[in-house]
Amino acid sequence: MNTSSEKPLWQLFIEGDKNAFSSLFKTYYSQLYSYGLKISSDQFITEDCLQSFFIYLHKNRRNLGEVNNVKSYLFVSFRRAVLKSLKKERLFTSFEESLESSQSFGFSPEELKIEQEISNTKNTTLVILLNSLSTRQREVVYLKYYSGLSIKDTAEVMDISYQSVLNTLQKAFTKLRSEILDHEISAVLKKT
Amino acid sequence: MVSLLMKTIFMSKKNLSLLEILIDDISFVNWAKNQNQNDVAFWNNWIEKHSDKIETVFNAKAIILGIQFDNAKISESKIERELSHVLAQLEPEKKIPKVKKPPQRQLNI
Repeated sequence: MNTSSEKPLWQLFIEGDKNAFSSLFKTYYSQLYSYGLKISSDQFITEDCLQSFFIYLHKNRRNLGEVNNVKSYLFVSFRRAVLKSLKKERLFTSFEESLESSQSFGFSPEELKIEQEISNTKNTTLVILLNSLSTRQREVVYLKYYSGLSIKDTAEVMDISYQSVLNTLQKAFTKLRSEILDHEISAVLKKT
Repeated sequence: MVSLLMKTIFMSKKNLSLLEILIDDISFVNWAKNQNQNDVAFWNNWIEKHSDKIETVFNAKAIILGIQFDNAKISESKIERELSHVLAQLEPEKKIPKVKKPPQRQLNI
């Protein structure tokens, strides 16, 4: 879906059109749910946050300001909402971890397509390598390749610069490539 | 096809890194995806002459190819259920009388 076809829908939603609201909800529920789950690793927190988030959007729709890209706007705001609610949760459970050091954005083999263009490495291996990246690197990989955001939109969602996203991607792939190579070499050596 | 990279190098000294230039260059993207014989030949030749840039070239290729994910979709019935929860919570603050038209208007999106 491109941005230009979304604008009227967003406009209708701002004007209070319930059908437009429902359309937005149905279009983005799955993507936002996956994203929230990756951040929080908690189904209930994610569902709860997502419900409150849409209610909040509706209630405050006239004060949301200029929205150029609906998808990245929703990702930015929902990310903030989930992090806020995790913080609150932690006050009660004295859970001391920030997004940086957390286990957020873990991947599982089932989430990867069988065919990977980057290598012939088995997905069980590729997942181990992906999960060994830093949380920030995993989030960039998630937003860019799982959610299909552009580098620019990824930067906006994570509130970092374009250059930062690019550097993070570069670091992530430098690491992945060298580890994939190591794996492939050791696989060859084992065979002989 | 004249590569954007060449143009950029000749035309200006913009503050773009080689990586930035490569990932936005259609011809280079074709090379990364092995899509156009002319581009493949051009870039293979370029790489041979710029072997010091090989790390950046392979990183750019990896960024372009990326990781292919199989996105989990939430069932429509689940989304409908969640939506009706949310809609029920929106109702009280609005004093619009119940309209009995079908709930979904077809929006072309």
